[in-house]
Amino acid sequence: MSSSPVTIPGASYARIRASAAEWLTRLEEQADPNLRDEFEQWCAADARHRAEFLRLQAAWRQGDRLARLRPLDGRVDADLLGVFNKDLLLGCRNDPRAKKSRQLAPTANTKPRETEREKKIVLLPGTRLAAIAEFLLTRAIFRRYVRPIIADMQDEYVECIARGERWRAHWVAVRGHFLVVPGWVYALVSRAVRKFFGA
Amino acid sequence: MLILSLLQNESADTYALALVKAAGGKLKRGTIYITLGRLEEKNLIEVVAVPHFRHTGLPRSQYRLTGLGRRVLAAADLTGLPTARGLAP
Repeated sequence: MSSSPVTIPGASYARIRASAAEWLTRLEEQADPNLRDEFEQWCAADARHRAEFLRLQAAWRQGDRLARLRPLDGRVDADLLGVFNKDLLLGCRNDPRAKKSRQLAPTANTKPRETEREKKIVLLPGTRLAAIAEFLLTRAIFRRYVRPIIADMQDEYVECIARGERWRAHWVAVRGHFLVVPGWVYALVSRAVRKFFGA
Repeated sequence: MLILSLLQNESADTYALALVKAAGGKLKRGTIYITLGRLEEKNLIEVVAVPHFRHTGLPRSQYRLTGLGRRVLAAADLTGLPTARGLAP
């Protein structure tokens, strides 16, 4: 019984992979909307393009996270765990095997205080504030005056944590929360004034 | 006008904090968001939400000039209003 030969488009696949890697690099470097449009056109040209891009992107992100989570002094960074690995943290907390191993084999570097801290820090700063603001404010006010401040604060916070500047990261978080207030007050006051004068 | 002329350069980073840096001290972190919000209300600029590649935070806002914003900037150039010319790129 003879089976029909399966054609493996090796050369073209290698080309797609190279193009996907190039797109990944370009999109990581700059968030230009025009570039994004070009990328969408490239994806639409062949179904394999997007698939290969997503596969490479997943591998890239995983590698990036592992690099950031790498312990420099043998201890796991609780803030980074909170930022990047919330699901893993929650999973470990509920996993009886993990609990047992922690009880049976405490290492020299593990302190109870750190474990408590790992449990507390599971969200980026500003996440709760954003949720409250989104609930209380109108969509336009939230999008214009609150979300950009919190988003920039979160980005700066992650940058500082990745550089190991923990105190600066906390300062960025505190400053970001205070910056939200003027925008919030301005938006509410201007809305009230406009309503009062019927504009 | 300063913000509009900074946004004219499309190849540059157009996040709020990048604009503060590019303005060389003429824009403040505490007021840039309100100013950008007012410009958006007047349809001079538009906001594009750009998701993060590095973490799961809120999408950052990138600002772009609208057609009306470009016309206003061109009119300001003609009338000689001060813009961002002369600032470091």
